[in-house]
Amino acid sequence: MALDKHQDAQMHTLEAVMAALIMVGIIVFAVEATSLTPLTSSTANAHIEAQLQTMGQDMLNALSYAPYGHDSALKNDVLNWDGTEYVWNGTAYESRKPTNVTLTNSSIADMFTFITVPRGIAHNVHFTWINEEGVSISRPYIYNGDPSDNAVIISKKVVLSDYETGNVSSFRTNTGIPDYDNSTDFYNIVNVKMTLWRM
Amino acid sequence: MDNKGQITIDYLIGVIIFLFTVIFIFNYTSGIFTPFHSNSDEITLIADRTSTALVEKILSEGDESVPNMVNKEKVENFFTELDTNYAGTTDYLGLNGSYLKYDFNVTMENQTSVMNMAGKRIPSGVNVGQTKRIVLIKNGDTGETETAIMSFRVW
Repeated sequence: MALDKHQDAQMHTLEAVMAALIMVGIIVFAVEATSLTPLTSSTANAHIEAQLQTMGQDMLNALSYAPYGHDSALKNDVLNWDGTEYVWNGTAYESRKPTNVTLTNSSIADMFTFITVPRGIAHNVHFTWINEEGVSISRPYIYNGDPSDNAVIISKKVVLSDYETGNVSSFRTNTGIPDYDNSTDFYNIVNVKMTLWRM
Repeated sequence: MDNKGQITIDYLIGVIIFLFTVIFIFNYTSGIFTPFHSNSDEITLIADRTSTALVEKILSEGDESVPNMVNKEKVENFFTELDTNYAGTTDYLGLNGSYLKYDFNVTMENQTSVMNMAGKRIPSGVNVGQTKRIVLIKNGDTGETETAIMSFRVW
C-alpha cells in the first residue's frame, strides 16, 4: 500500500469536509434568508390561503342568498346546467367539448368575472352528487386546469326537488344527476365545490 | 517525525473549534434579520378581526344563512361616520390602545366603480394589513341586492 507515503492524507479529507460544510451552509443560508415568495409555505402563505378561503366562502354565501319567494342564484345555476364543461378563454367562459358555446346567464360565472378574474385567482367549479349506487360522482362545471398544492376548496350544498328540475328525465340525461328517491319529491343534493388558487 | 500521515491532536482540536464556529454562525445569522423583515402578522390579524366585526356584526343585515350580507343604510352611515368622526370610529373598533394606535381605511367597490371610501390615506413605506370581503349589499327598502368587495386596510 502506498497510503502511508502521504503525510497530509487526513488533513486533506478534513479540509474537504470543511469546504463542503461551508458550501452547504451557504446554500441553506441563502435559501432560508431570501426565498419567501407568496407560494412558500410560511406564515405569509397561510394568510393568503386564509384570504382565498374567506373570499370563496363569501362568494358562495352571496350566491346562495335566496330572496323571499325566489330560488338562490346558486340553485338556478345548477338547474340551468346542461352537463357542459366550460373554460375561461380570456374574455368569456366557453364550452370545451361541443361547439364553442359561451356560458351565459350564470351567476357563478358573473361572480368569477367580477372577483377572481381581475385578481388573477385561478378557479375551478365541480358539481358533486351521489348516484343510485351510492357512489360520489363529480363533474366539472368550470375547469381551468389542475390546481396547485396551495389551492383552497370551498363547497356549498344545494338541495334539488323533482319539480324544480322542470323535466326530470331530460335533466337526468343532460347532467347525469339522478333522482335519488323516485317515491318522494326529493331529487338529489348537489355539492358545489369551488377550488381557488394563486397562479 | 514519522511518515505515517497521522493527524496531530492540536490540528484536530483546531478543526473542531472551527467547524463548531461555522455551524453556529450559520444557525444564528439566518435568524438574526427576522425582526427586520416585513412583520405584517399583527396588523393582518387586526384587519381580519375588524373586517369580521364590521361585515358580520356591525353592518350586518342579520341573515343567518348569508353572514356576509350587509345593510345598505348601515354601510352608508358607517362610511360617513368614519369620515366625520374618525377617532371615535377607530376607538369603537378597538384600534386605539394605550400603547399602540392603528390607522384604518375602508373601500367598497362594485363591478364598475368605487362606491365608498373612508378613513385615512395610506402613507408610503408602511406595512399594511389587508383583508378583502365580498359582501352582498341589501337595500332595505326595495329588497334588491348587489355584490361588492370591501377592502379593510390597517397599519
